[in-house]
Amino acid sequence: MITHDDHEIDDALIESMDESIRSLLSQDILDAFHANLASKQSINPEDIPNHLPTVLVLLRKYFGPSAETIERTIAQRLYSRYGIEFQKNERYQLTDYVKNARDKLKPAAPISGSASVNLPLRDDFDQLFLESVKEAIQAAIGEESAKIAFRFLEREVPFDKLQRHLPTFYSALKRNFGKDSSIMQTAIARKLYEKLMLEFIETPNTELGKYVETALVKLSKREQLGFVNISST
Amino acid sequence: MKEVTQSTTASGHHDYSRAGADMTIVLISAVVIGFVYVTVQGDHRFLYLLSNGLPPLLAFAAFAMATAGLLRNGVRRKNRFSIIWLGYWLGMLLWFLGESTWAVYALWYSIPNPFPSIADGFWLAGYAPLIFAILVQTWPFREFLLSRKMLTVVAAVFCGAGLLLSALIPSTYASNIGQSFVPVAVGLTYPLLDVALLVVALPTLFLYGRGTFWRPFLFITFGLMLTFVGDIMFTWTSLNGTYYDGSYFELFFHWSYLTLAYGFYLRFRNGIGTNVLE
Repeated sequence: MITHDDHEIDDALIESMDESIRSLLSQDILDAFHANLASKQSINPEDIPNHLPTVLVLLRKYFGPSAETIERTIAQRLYSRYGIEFQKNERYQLTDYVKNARDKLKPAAPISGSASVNLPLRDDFDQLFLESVKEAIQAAIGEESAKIAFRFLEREVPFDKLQRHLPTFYSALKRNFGKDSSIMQTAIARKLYEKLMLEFIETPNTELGKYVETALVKLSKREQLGFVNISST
Repeated sequence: MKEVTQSTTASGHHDYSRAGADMTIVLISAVVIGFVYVTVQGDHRFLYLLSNGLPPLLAFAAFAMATAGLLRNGVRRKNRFSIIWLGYWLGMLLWFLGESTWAVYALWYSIPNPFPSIADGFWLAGYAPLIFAILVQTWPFREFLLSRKMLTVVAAVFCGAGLLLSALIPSTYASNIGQSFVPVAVGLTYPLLDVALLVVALPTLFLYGRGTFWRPFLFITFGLMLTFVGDIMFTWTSLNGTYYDGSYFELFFHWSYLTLAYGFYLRFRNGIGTNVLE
């Protein structure tokens, strides 16, 4: 039986595939791929998840060994949508990655009635963010220096009100850490993602605010999928 | 599971016969050129004409096909493949200008070996857009290209090129003592740029494999590799004074242009829409 979540994962898979082909090749090639699927295999874009092995055969026929990269990019995007950590496996094909994702997401499906998987959600964010800030700064500059840094930072934003004054906090970080601010922001983001159990992909010139924004979107996605708040266990 | 069907043309029919015929024409042309080179080795006058007159024609064929391929693909801003085809087109234009300039020197002004000359300027300039096009093309797949297997290929290219240059440079200098630095420098720039071209082009052959979409690029890459062989031999013979118009190694240049022209032709033939993947 196809559950509501299966449909959702199917949609996410189709979107991930479209985005991947578009970004690695071009929109024209994506259109040509869809047209070929429809004309030669009678597979419409929305049916791709149901005919994934056939689609992959065609993908390899058209793109040869580069199809491996395309498949992996699709899987990475799919995993990223659900905040699942992506681990490259040389022996995996896209079908394996998708199956893996379904297996990981299924226990949390509301329709199954199971609440066995507990992951951090939006309600856990504020606490985990504060912990990440403290731990990342302590790890970077040592406990004693961190105490001084916290005092300076708290002058601008009290830590108990951190979540309500994030932009001010980001500015305070920049002022206090100067040229090391970007390293510190990345360290905080890395720690935060670790605590939120999200895959952290470091991208150059990305500020903490952007990482936080992405994390919140992924947490919302988790909530939609029916994951249980970690603090409810 | 449905079986994947074979490629079709715009009309929706299989067209292996046409693809085979196109390929046969290219192969026959390559063989005929080779045969002519063998048979006219004694006729120096004809050989001189052939050696200097044929390359601009073949380069023009490659350039014309590159133009056709570019126009068929369409030139659009922020379109990766437009940039790629534009790079190849520009490279072919510059190489065509290089061949034409050389032919003008050799046939019009009767300068038998105009090296170095403005022609070299065109040829050397042509490398930049070609290398750029390959880089743009392979950049999204850099993960594959940075795999251990591919890095081994690149390392092998470097080692091979290093050995080649270590054999080429000392003997070149030894045979050119007292001569101007410019011909030696220009002559050695070719293999160095060829190595750069090869380092980016060779791994792409592994990346594209048998993928039908990449077939035009496969021929283009192979054509560039033939140029590499020709350049190495030209530099060697030109600098040690054994080069003559109609040398056998010139065939590598001719075959290179044929292969490049065929690659661009394939892009043109595939057209747009669904066939772009066939």
